[in-house]
Amino acid sequence: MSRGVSIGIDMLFASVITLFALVFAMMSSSIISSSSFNALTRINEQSIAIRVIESLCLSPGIPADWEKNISVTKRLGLALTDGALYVLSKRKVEIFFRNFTMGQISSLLGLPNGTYILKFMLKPIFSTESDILELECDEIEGGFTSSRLVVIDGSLFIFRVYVKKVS
Amino acid sequence: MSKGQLLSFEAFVSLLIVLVFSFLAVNLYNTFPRDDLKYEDFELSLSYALLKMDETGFLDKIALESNWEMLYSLIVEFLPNCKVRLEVYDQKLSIIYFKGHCNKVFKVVCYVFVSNQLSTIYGIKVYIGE
Repeated sequence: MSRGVSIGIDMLFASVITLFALVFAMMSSSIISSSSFNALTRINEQSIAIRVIESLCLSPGIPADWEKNISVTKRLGLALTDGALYVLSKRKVEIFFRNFTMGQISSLLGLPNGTYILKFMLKPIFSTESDILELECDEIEGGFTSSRLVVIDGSLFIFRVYVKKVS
Repeated sequence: MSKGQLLSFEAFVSLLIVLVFSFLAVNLYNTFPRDDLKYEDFELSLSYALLKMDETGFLDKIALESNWEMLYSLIVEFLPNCKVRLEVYDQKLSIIYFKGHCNKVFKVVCYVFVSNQLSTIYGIKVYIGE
């Protein structure tokens, strides 16, 4: 280092790189954290939607004949007791859409109260609007939708579950 | 450091390390999987949907009427949040019907079914993407 120069070129270079790295890290950290947070929320909604729809379509519930006395229901499931995959009981479906509140459904599906907004829809394929059964507590914007083609009394229906995490 | 040399060896190595780590960090960020479960779920649900359509005789009815448009409409209605392309093959592996277009394909669902009434094998291929 020559006389009169307070810092060497190496140090100057290192300082510039460090400064750039700091600015870059500060700028990118906010972008990365917000996009990661969004991705985690999305994955959470998706996993809940898939868990709920699979649980409803594949399990008869606990007890398996809960439709006879809904007050003893411990876990919801719409499948026939000894049916094939994605074959639902018409009676259970009717009770599910008409007799349960959204709070009861969340609780019977093992979801924490007030954490997720849910919406359920069941419609026959190629049907009119009047045939559609819907159950929702609030209008959902965004969130994730999972669909399954299910069989009820030999007819095909599209069963949809919408899930949105309460922010 | 010799005269006329901009960087010492140590500074050069440090710079190289910083650049390599920066590249790795940017690369990791760009390639981090963000497609999540969406297309996995679409693939699974469509596979079961085709199975159910086959079991209930719906596919057989479509084949009998050659109404593949109905199958396409059903798939589009079933998977509303993505783009789909449907291809139907006969047993000579010739395309007999296709509709739809995906710019980017994430999943492909293939299903083979035998039409009992026509005694013919059909192949259904659905591209799911954006």
